[in-house]
Amino acid sequence: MRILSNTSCVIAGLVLALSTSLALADVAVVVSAKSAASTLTAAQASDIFLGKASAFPGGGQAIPIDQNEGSAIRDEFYTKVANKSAAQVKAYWSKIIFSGKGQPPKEVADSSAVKKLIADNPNVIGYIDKAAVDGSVKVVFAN
Amino acid sequence: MPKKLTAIALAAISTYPVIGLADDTEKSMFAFKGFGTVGVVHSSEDGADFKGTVFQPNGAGRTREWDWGVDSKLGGQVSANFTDKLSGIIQAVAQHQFDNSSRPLLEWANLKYQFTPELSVRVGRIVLPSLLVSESRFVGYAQPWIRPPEEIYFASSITNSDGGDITYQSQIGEVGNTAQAFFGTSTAKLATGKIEAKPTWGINDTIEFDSWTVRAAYVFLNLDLELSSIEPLLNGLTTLGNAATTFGFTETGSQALKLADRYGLEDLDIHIFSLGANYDPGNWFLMGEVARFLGDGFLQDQNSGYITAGYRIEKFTPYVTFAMVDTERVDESISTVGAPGALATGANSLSAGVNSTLKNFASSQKSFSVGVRWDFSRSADLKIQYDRLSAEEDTYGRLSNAEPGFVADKTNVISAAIDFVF
Repeated sequence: MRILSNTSCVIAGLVLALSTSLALADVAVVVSAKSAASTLTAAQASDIFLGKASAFPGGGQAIPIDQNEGSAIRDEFYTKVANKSAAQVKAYWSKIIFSGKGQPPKEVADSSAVKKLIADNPNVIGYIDKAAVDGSVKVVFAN
Repeated sequence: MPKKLTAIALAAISTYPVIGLADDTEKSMFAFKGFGTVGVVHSSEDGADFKGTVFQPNGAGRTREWDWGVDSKLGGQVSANFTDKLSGIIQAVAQHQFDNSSRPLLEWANLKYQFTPELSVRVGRIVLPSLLVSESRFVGYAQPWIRPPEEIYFASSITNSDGGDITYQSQIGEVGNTAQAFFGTSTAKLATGKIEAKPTWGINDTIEFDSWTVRAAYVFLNLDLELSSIEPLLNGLTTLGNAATTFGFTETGSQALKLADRYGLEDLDIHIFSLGANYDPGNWFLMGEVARFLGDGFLQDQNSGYITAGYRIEKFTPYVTFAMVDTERVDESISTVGAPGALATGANSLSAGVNSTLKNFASSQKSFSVGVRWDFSRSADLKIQYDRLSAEEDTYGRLSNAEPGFVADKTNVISAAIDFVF
């Protein structure tokens, strides 16, 4: 009985660990492969997407691009990177917009639209499915 | 020469992202956005009104059983990015206001120039940033409660000024700092007259670090009040004071004149000091502010504060608030020693008038609120809130329009509101 419960505990633990890392692994924050930007911490990435920073830590303009409101990848990104739910992000931007302090990032439809914009402008930073990462982009945050 | 210039120009254009694609990442010049609240309030106290702002002529309780005007409002704004440094904004808000209408009022109309990423200047009608949520005061969607706690927000009711401000933002490591100074004039209308701030100015500083936001602010206002209902009282004091002095009743006379001077409606120097903090690690938050109001004339000194705690569970955010406001009450009298009957009666009636006006301008109250916010949609929320108000110390609390003989005690207020943004 004891061995069984121990094993099931271990298995449960493994599944939990795996599922957490699998969830994180779904979203990769990327910039152009030609960009000089290097890896970011969650706080640095969060600051860029929340409009608190307009440049990369190492220098150079940073233009964040969101995926569509309500999309799973967007909610995942903000939960994991900024620790904010979709409603919190919306309330945050409402405060900023309606105090005249700024505007939220432009929205595009999906990961390939993000990559297209990145290809056209090396200052763009976006988040895409990890499976969509290819040679045109460089991952600056994924865990 | 021209050929060389052409070559340079062409080279410059070719290294620039092609205009069409650059537009995709750039924001369009004009953006229209709006916000609103539809709310209803019921107050258990039918001897006085519960209002949403000092500018509303009436409210829930005495005037209406269910009042839709207390919290309902609609705001729209147009923002324009003329160049990457020059932008402008116009915001108008419609809500129940002084003339019992809901005509939209121009809240902001200003131009902003971003000199550097850190330094910006605004000119025009700008927000008067007295308190923590002053800059998005009317946007229910951006706040946890149905309305910012009235104990502290009512004393800072003037929401904009015409003038300018300068803001300096900096980031040192993980700490963001925003310092701001403003200067301007403002006019706001009441049901009974007008308030003019000529001038108003202030400074504030906000520090953001991790889950923390801390803000300190100072606002100065030099007020002229135009309140036709109070002018007869002041004229009476002056007339009686002069007459009493002329006939040799110097004590009565000089005291009456002193009151006329002390309670004049012009050139009132008001100082508001405030400190606010918000701790929001994600699943829950704690938010609080304290303010010290140093008044003049009928506006007595006041201390106020609140603390709000909220917890996020899925789409629900229940919250609880404790708030208080305490006015340092002043009581006046005119000596009638040695004064003949008629003079004494006149003096007593005038000092009673001064005291009842002082009571009207005072508010001491403690309140406990509990509510829940439900983010049922991506752009809207529903809030239900219960407030239990306890008026104290010979004031009407935060209620107004009291019927004669009204004594404020405990009041239950139930409110429901839907906030939305578009």
